[in-house]
Amino acid sequence: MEFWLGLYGMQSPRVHPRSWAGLYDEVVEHAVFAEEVGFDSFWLTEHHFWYDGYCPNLLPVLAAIARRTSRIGIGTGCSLLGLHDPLRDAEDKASLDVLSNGRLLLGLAPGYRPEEFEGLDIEKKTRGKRFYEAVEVMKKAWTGETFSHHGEFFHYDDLRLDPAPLQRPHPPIWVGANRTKLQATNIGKAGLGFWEGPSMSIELFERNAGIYKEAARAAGHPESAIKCGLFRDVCIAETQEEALRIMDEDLLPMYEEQYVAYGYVPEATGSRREMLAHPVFQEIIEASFVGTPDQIIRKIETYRETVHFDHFMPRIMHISQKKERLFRQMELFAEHVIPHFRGAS
Amino acid sequence: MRSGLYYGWELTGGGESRATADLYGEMMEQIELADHLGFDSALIGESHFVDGDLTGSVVDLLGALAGSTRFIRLGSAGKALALQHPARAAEDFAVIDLLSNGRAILGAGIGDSEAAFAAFGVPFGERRARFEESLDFIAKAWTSDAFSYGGRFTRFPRKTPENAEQPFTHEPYEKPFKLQWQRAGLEPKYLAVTPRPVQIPHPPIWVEAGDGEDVALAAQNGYAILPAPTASDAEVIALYRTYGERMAGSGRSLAEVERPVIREVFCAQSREEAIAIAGEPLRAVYARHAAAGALGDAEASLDRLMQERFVLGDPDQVFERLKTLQQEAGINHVICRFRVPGIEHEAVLRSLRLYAGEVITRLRS
Repeated sequence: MEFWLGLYGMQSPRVHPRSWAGLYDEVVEHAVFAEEVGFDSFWLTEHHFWYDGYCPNLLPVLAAIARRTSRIGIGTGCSLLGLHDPLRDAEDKASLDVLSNGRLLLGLAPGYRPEEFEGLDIEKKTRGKRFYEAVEVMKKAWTGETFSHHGEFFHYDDLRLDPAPLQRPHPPIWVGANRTKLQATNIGKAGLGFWEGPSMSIELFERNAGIYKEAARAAGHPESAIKCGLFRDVCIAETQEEALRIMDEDLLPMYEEQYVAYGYVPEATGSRREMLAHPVFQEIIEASFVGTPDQIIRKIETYRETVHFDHFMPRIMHISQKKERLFRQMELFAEHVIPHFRGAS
Repeated sequence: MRSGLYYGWELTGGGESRATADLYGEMMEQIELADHLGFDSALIGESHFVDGDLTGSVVDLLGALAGSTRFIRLGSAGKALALQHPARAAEDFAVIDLLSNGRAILGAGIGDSEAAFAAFGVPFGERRARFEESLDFIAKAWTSDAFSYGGRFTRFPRKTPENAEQPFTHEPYEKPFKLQWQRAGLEPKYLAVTPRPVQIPHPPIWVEAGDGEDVALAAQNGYAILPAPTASDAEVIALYRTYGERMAGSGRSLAEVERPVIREVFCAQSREEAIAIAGEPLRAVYARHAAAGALGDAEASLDRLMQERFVLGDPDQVFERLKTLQQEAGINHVICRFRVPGIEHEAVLRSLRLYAGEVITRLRS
């Protein structure tokens, strides 16, 4: 079983403003620490044109991390392919794989925020189809052989990428799943990894993972290509009381700010308790793994009894950026949770 | 005068057979050593779909170096801005600037590879107009809060009409995302390119200058120029003369800007040793440039190249030669290419140490 640590976006949120340069300095330090305590990989997250400065290009930051570490995997969670030029993406990702000595992991997603499509002058409604064609383009480019491609959206003639990625045939690809059956089917058809987001219920995970696996098998993909990953918000502490406090101080304020900014919920007018009663918050509280190491282990085991998965991403980095608290949680997770699952499959 | 390092075109070539991971590793080690030795800058030229160039992703390489160096400034050279949406370049170099805590340089140019324009689906004939608009957009993006841009090629957000007054009012943008920003407690005028860079007002922009049009564009906007690496000393001097006139014509002083130049430099204990190590590898590179039409065959003999372009010698000779160029061209930053295919990593490190020990300080004072 592999443990991925995520997701860093180098945001300076309104309720907890920080220096962006400081955040970029710290993210490298956190990755070095994550490698030290024994996480398998370290993941960043992308958005564009957001008021909090959400990181718009993960690759140079992962490159900085790669140069300062030697073993830990580096991941894009997710790289928003629907907003990118697949050819430039293929180039940038291949170079990063080479300069990290083959440590790149790719989480890919089409993107969803309207601002990003509007800003980059890209049609939003075709993003689903464009996403899978872009993956095809990148796979062709990553062969390192001369390739041509004529699809619905992209056209290339006789190009050869140099360098090609170090990992053959290319870095592992995971696709961020949403709530729909359609997306689960499409990920399966394409034979890519299925990566469940942080807020979906265990029932939804079970349903969509089932649809995904069935679609992958129907399309003739080998069992080795069929893999599920689970991403959850985690607050871990020696006592449950402390873990709940971390949820209250670090995790929920992050969602409060984001859900207001997305427009999911209106700006709080009444009490905080009223706001948190909204179904979107109840869903997050329900889905998050909050507790002592033993409680977290049991949570992961419960999920694994329902859907078999070999990749788990705890998101410990929430809003506070209190380094001591974050490092303590990383240590607790690495000391108690990771060894429990080592060798398990 | 400041000193830097340059990497561009062939990271490998001329029959050299090397693994890309090793070449990247050596380049980064050289720049990391240069950071310790007190070099001022390292620039990497961007190149797409040319075998052996290996620098399609300058942003990745600069990112890696931002993480592993402390003081050295890190930049692109001749990045063809027209090949991507300018918001992406603005974002990328803001990220490099943040990662490096204010050390980024955006070296950009109109681009000369028809193959790269074809690959990215951008009309080659529009490259100058697109480059100029990209520069304009990027400077605005770096210095504005939320804004809109109605250019010939760039509409930001996409429904912005051409030549729209800024900020414009346009019904389709009342919903949905204006509201999202407002709910976050901000009063947006459409969209902002975020995060903002560290340097104020923004990271320096160096315009690759091949001809008078490039020089005019740079002078008009108060940007530095970066002459093509293949230019002879005489061509560099002439370009800077034109640039000086243009700057004065725009009511600007040369003191406002950095005045960089890229040179082929190799420093050894003696002139003979420098030529023995670097002479043939450099001549071979320029023979390939001559074959591609970048300079005449007659200019590509080692003698002529030594006279007109290369700076090879012992530390005193390198210093004297660069000092002369500084005086004649009015430059204040020499960016040296110490490594071309055929020069061993260890020899490059020795040349860097020698240059740092005996040339950098004398040039600076």
